[in-house]
Amino acid sequence: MSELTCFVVDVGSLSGDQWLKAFTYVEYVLLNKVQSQRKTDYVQLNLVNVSSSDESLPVNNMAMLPVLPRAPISISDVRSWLGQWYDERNNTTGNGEDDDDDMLFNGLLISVLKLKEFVGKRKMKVKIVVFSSQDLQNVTDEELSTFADQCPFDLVIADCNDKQGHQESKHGNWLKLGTPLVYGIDELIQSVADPKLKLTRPIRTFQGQLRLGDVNASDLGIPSLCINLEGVPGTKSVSSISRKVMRKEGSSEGQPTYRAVKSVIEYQIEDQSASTSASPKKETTRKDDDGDSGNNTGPRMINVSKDFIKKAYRYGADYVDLPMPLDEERKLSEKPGLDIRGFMDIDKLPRHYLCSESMYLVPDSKNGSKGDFLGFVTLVDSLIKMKRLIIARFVPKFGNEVQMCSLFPVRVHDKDRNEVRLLVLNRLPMSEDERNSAFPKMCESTELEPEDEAMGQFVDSMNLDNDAQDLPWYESDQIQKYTDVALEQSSLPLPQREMFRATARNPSAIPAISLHRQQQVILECVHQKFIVGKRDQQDLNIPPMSKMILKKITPKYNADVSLSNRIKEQFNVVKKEVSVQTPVNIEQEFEEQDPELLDLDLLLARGAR
Amino acid sequence: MSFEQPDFLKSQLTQTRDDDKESDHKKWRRYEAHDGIVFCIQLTPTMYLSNPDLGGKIQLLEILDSLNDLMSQLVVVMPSTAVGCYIYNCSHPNAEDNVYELIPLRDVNYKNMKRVSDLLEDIEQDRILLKDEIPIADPNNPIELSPVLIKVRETFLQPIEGQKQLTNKKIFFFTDDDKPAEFLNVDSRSRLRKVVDDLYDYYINFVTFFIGSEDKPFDDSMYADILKWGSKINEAQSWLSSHGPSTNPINASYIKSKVKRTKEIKRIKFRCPLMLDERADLVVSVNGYTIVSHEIPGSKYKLVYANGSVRREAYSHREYLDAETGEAVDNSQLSKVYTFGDEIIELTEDENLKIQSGYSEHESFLKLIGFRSTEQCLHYYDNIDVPAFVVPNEEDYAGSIKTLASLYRTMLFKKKSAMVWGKLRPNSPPSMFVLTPSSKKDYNQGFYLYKVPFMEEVRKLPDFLNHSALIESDDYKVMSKVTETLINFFNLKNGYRPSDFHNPALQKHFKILREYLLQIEVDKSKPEDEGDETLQKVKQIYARIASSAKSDDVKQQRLVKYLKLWNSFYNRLSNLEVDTKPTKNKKAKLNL
Repeated sequence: MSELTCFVVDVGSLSGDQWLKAFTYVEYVLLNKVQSQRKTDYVQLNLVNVSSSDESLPVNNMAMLPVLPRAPISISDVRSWLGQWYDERNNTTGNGEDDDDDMLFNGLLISVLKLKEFVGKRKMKVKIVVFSSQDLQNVTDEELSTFADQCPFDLVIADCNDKQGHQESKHGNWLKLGTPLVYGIDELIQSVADPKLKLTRPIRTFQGQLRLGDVNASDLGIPSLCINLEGVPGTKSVSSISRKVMRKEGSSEGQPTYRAVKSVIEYQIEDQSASTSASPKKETTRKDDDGDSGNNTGPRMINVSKDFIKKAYRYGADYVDLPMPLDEERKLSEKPGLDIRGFMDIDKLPRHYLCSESMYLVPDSKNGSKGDFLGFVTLVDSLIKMKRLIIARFVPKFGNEVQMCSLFPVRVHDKDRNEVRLLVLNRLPMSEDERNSAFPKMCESTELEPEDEAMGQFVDSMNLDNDAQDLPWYESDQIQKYTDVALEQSSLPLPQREMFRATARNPSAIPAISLHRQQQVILECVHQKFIVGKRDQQDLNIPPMSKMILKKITPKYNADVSLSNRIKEQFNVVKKEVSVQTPVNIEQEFEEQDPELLDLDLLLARGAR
Repeated sequence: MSFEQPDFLKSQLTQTRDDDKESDHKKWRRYEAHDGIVFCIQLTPTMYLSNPDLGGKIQLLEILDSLNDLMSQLVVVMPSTAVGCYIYNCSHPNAEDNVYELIPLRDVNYKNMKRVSDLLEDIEQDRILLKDEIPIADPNNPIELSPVLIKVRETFLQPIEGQKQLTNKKIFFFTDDDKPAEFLNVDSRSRLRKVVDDLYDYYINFVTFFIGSEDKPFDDSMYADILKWGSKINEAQSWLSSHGPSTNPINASYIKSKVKRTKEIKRIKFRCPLMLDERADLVVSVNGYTIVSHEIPGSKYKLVYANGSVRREAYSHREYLDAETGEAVDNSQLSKVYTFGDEIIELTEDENLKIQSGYSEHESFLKLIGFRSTEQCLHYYDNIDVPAFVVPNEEDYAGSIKTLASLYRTMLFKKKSAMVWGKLRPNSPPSMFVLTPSSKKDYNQGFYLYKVPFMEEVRKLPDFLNHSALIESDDYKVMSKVTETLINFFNLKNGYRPSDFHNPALQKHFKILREYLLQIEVDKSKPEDEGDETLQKVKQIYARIASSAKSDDVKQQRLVKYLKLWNSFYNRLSNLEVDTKPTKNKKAKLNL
């Protein structure tokens, strides 16, 4: 759905730091809109109680930037609007003390009227965000209630008072404007400092049956079990913000310009005619005047058409160029589906066998019936009750490779506290995927030794579980319904979103560190080079890492440093200075590391048992 | 079918023309290994006898079988491993000094594989006799180990055209003779010791297969003395009180599993410091190894240009063309930039470096955040990557082994895992991990390193079928009971063993290549999925249900009765009009 954010800034009432905080918040939101370039994300910045007046507006001392809400916006829009605000900050008519001159309420009214006109019959999520340090003392209750009746939009009030004067009762008149959300400006600032999580809509990647037995044998009177399912990505790696390759020109003086490029794959072969026969050949790209230099200059290459390129597959030291019909035979014709191989105790499946991203399986939302729903729900609940998981043979899509996988039962709650059940699918290694190696033993016995006393204290001292929520093994505070979370999310960052609350105390839940770091630096770069205007400034001031992330990755030392010193002395931990020339060492290590140090045979015997 | 193997394809040279990749390649080269394994087998009269520990199989055949298996495995998973086989005390006409080269040490290739598999097939079908094909030397000749070891050393060191230098050299040494005459004479013994020392100087190591049985135990004391490390190696390996390779005898039935397990070199995935407490500079160094991979059929290949009769190796490279003019753009003109609205942002190398190095002074590192109960932090529902296995190394920090051993015991005892974060490689972005000690049941002592998904990496659930009223119904209770019973029918007591499931796609791919290379006639009448172990295992369930359906025994029939009961509920519910469609796109909720 379309969104519209209208900022109404009571410029005259903002002073000192308060001014800068509001400014920073608005800048952050605007820059995010520039970056996302959404065509349905409108924005407008209305300044009231400024020194100048716009003749076209029925209210004095007000500016609407731009006249109609705009989407998408550019950096130069942001620069010019914020520039006007910046210029007006010390240049205002009054500071709201003089009731007659105060235009805040009128400005707000005009904003609402103009927005109504703009929105018309379109479906749009509209938010008006007011920055002010006053609370409409000069407005009558009647006016306030008329406003509340007439304003169909969400109202967010940013209270820009200094802390001392900040009291709940002072919000009185704001609260009469309907049901606005009122935040202190410091809270809002915090919310833009926190990383903003990107939400991805779930997209179905699998649709098929979960079967126990042969579904084709029912004609013979042999029953089977079959539930229609669908799958969506469960865990998926996020990459960092990608950089685009462009052609850069004229960097020596002034600003460089960038031009788009397209990337193509070219195929080449060596020009053997040049080296094998002495006959002169037509010019090629590479210069190669004396034919005998051969290997030194590298052979001449000729571009060839992609149509004649095929693959020769590796077979040990040999490469096999298969004839067409055999190459065709390599193709697979597996149909999608999940066939149950059996059930097993969860504890008996080594955790390190899970070796892929996860997939969520739920009853098929398109073709599923009540039978599929209840069949699925009872299956998940039974697995939870019995602490078992499913081992299944899995083909995700037609013609895909067969995989063996585990299906793990999960039961979580949605925002209405309804139970939601799912199976989480993970690939398991097959025979060829296992990398069995034997490593030297670290210790003779795995039992605790007297010398482990200090280490025990160390481990206890850094306990992270105190704050964490105690959840049953089949429940996760991070697996949530998309619609539950999307409800909370808008392009306007607000404090303490519900989705964070549950995970804030979970030590294992942190936002993608480098992604947010990159985003933070890019925003800072835009701020410094384009907004503040030091375009040619060479040094970028890199801001400190987000406090929220830092807090989660900072070691939780609760013991005195002397404990660690004791451990260090106990085990003679010393940095070796010699190994500075690492690359050499690593290569050598490959040669050295192998002598078989441990009693492999004992282990083999144990494994065979 | 004409058979022609283009010569150029045999070259091992990997050529990359992409400048960007070039530097990447260099970085990776240090992690690239080239293994060589030599089977070194002593012929003794008992080698030709059937062994009760092998169910009556002939011991030498078991060894050759494991060589055959090893090569078939390597060609799939580690194709750049060289394998050779040298048999000593052998009077084969081609033998020199009684050393017979069954297959030379070369990267696994179909010719050597064919040599061994043909030999085994001929023996199996009684076309030839093992003692004729691989004859034992005259018992009057002295049995000497030195010649074969010298021969093996030479083959290990000999440069082979088109083959990369070996970085990891192993002798799989098979014998059941614990007191060779050579050891009893002082001169020959010291000569042998010199040969062994020489091998160690070239980092050629032994993996012993000293075959003993209850009736004829193998006394390893002599070999333990002969094979112990010289002073040079001892120093580097002093961190355990070992003095040489394990010489413990094994039962013949372990030959195959030991070959399989020791074939692997340890693939280093990363190597970095683990910071336990930076305040005190309490830092240790660790190595991380790959323990699980995902082999994909057809992922290893070279490009061929095939046009009429012309067949040549081809190379691909990426080129950038100006989007407007179409002209090729020189690399020096290319920049990697961020786009921000209509503006372009280019960070300098220095700025990029500042962001990267802001995490730590180390290029790659792991940093301890704290400890959690393993139960609380290690789940089965949020896996995102392959795990790594982490063990200490002493290269950068002395005391790493003792410290991590103590941490290992402590975490095991307290059932704790460590939360750590860091970068495993200089250029990779930081990640969050759980570090969990391996269990007492594991083969190895060490820690598993599991990546924890970031919040953005845990995706959200779609809206789906919800008939919550059904959960309150009696149907739910009955169906739960039926489901629980069915689950109990198919409990896998042995759990899941990867070795039970060969990847059918991978097997098919290599089967087609092998049959083409060896020009084997393919029997088209066989069903395509015949070799699919995954399907075979699923079909066991089909068979179980079918036999229950056909059984006259009331007890046996229970399975089918429960399945039918489940289906009667399923069908009744499914045939009901689906009145509440899935609650999709509840727009009302978004009304603000």
